[in-house]
Amino acid sequence: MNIIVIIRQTPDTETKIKLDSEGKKIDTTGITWIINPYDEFAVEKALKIKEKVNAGEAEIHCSVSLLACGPSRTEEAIRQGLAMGADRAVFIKDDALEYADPFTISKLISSELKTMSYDLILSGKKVIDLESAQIPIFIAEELGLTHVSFVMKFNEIDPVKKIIICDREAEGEHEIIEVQLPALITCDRGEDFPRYASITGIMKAKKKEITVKTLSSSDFQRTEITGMELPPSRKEAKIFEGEVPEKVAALVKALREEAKVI
Amino acid sequence: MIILMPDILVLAEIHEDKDLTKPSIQILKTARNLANQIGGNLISVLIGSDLNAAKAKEQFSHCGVDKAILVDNALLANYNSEIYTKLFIKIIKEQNPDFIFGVNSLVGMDLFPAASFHTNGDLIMDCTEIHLDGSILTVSKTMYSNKVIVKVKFDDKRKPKLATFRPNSLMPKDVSPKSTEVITEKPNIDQSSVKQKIKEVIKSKSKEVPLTEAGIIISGGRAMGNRDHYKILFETAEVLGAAVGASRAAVDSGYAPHSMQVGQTGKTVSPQLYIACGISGAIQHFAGMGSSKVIVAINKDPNAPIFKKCDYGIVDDLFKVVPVLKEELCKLLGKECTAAKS
Repeated sequence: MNIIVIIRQTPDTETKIKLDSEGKKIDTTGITWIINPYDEFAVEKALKIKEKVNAGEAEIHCSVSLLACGPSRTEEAIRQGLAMGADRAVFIKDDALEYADPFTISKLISSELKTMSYDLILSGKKVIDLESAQIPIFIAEELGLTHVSFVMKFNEIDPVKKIIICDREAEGEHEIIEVQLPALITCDRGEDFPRYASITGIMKAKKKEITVKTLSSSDFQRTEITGMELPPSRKEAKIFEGEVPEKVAALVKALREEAKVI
Repeated sequence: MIILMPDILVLAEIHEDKDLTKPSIQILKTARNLANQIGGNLISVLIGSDLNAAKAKEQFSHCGVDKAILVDNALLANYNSEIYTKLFIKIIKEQNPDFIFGVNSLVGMDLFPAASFHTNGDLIMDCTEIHLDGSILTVSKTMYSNKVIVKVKFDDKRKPKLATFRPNSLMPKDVSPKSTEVITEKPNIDQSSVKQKIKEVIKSKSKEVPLTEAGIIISGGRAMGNRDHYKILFETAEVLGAAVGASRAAVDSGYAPHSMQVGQTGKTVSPQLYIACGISGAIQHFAGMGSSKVIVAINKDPNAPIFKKCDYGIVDDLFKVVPVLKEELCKLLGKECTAAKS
């Protein structure tokens, strides 16, 4: 059973974002990069399935491959995923992809997936840098795969019948969905805490294979960023003084009369 | 000579009581204003089960919709990506609109990427504003966890152009009602080739306002201390018609379910008013609520980072402040409130 996890490297949420001199893209110097947090949940979910299947009675071997598309720096995210326990990786590598739009990335990843064999493809429910959920679902459609999005956890996996049961959040409700593989699933956090890579994991990751693919063309770009600005900073906060009743009364008055939000 | 006016198609969503959701109304009115500008029709699509045509007509009419297509089948009660995608694409192909808009909701986030693939149209997701200049359509959206606002231009030669919008971000002008033409379609749905099926739906017990579309949110952090303490937030939320959220620290401590989490690995919200109780204000939290219009912080630690990023603050114990706040709001809004139990 082959699981492929599509991952992306994004700036760390903690990192400060600066604009470049033209103001049309960000200045990437000094940025700390991480695996997109939702993709990290997807890696964790994939590793849990792998452990369960490999420990099962069916004598089916499950492996987890990573698939990433991006500039050279993306390799760090791939190594981290391998150190967590993924078996191998495919890396579509080109520094021209630094500012690629979701369409470009979707096209490149789907054309690579067409050459790979898989039962299950996982990815995060969205990427936090582009603030978009479109890449994995676009890929599912391109590959003609059924997909379920925003899955919190997998309740069951049957590697023999190739069926997976997903728990999906839907506005406070949970939907329990049975899916016939092959399928693509986008992952929410659920109750997962992604595992830390152990020292042995990191050592092993250094020897794991990353197959690098280069681009023949990257002329897919469709949408264009025409301007970029930092959000206006909030004025200094009004902090109310006094005893609790006075402070609350002043707050309610301000919300009513000044901010006009209640 | 026939001049083709560009039509706008909006995927509308409704609550269980069949009322249009607030974000759907915001998009429909925004689209009406755009349609007036470009001279095309505003078409809306509603997909679901047991739809109420009379109610739909009245509500769509208030939003200035020219034509509403209701796609009604018992199998559409719950979202199924395969079935919904097929039906949505069929309508898009029949109507052939230039623009397709929807809410960046669980349904919109799932359906629009599929629609962009099948129509070969461009899609920009989670937009906060829209600008049309001649035939050039540009949207604004945030990137990098609310840290940057970007303007993105669609390729003006490609059609259709698809966009999903973040709830509560569009502030449309009022529109004149239209006498909406309502068409109800009852498609036959062949489930034989569908690769997924819903086995069970676990409903939540309460009838709360969904977090992502709430105009007001009151959230509790690690300082809530336990699950039961959220009661005071729920009571205050009821007075305000607000939703209740939680920080990651509170969720990780087991005080609240993940479905209530606001922030980087939780929900992205954009309410008019966000009241943060006992929340320190980590960057991860702001990644989910930084675009709120007004932020109030209640925290007993005067050095909490949130006081540097809010509009109004009270430095005090939330358990002293919130019950008084609830009573003040009851008085102000003329609601009957039972005295807060300590």
